[in-house]
Amino acid sequence: MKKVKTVRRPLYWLLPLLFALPLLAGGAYAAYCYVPKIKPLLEVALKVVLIP
Amino acid sequence: MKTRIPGMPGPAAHILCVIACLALTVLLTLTGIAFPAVRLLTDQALHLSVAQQDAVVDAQYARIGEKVDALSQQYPFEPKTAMDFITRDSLLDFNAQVVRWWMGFLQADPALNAPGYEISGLLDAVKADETFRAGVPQTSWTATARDKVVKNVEDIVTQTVAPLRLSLISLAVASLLSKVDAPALAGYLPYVPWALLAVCLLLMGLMALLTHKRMGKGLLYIGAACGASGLCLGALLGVTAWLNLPGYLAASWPLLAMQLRLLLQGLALPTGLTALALLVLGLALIGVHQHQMNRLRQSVAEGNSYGA
Repeated sequence: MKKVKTVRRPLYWLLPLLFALPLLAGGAYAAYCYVPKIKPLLEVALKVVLIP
Repeated sequence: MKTRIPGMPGPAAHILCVIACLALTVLLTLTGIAFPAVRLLTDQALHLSVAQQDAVVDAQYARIGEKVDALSQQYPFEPKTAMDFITRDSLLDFNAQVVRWWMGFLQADPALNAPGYEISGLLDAVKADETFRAGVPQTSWTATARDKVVKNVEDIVTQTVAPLRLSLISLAVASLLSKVDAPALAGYLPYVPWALLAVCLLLMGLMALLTHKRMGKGLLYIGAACGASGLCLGALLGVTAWLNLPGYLAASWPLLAMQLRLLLQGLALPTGLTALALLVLGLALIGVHQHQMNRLRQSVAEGNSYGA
């Protein structure tokens, strides 16, 4: 019987990574922009709300 | 030579599927976040299980003992006199009272008065304490015992269990509740993750509809979105672990850090399992697609009309 060679397309396995990357990049960019702004506010809030 | 396979979805269906796949990834990730977030806001049993853990109560008891010892150096009394009134059961009850207080903010008619630990009978016990009687003038026994010892011991217990400015929080919450209808919003909260999940299922159905000519392709896109959201949730958990918020609090508020760590661990385990399940499901669906397409290509190359 003649064996037929099939195309495997292994890159399909990387599709989850491909679709996750834009989201992760967006999240990382948002963190890069906003975390430095939020951090001092958080520190002040902690000092106001928590009793040392 | 490339084998042409009939019955494949057209380019428009593929483009729409890619867009739907990105949307599904975002929505599945949000659903994965929404379940633990809603649990954090509404599950009183979770908070009680953390606040009443043996390790937490033991640490609180030890800390109270240290502070009462320090207080007994300032105003002479036997620390045992005060510690006899602070039992493990009363600490468990007070922990539950604090949890019920702040979990009640989102319910109708919340009790806005901050809880405080009250010890009845300690005043008489301190006044009868030999060390106290020997070290404090008789004329000020009642005032010193009431204002300097009992009040401070009650504050020590309250601040050890909840090292928060409770009155300030009460005021802020009262002001906020006058502007926002929190009970109505809280009523919708439990439905949010399920609504998100329903939208995800709708999107999956849409993708299946778009690729109805070859369902395997729909499985590929749905699997890719599931896997991608599993990766995003995993990354989110990794970032949360890397930020190490309990470690940040540990220096100044070790007991609070301990409770936060237990709470995060309680939430991280189901979220991590969800992320893993999504990733495995995604890879399994991609695997089904790969298997179906291989069989299809094989049969087309052999000249059969299988599945075409």
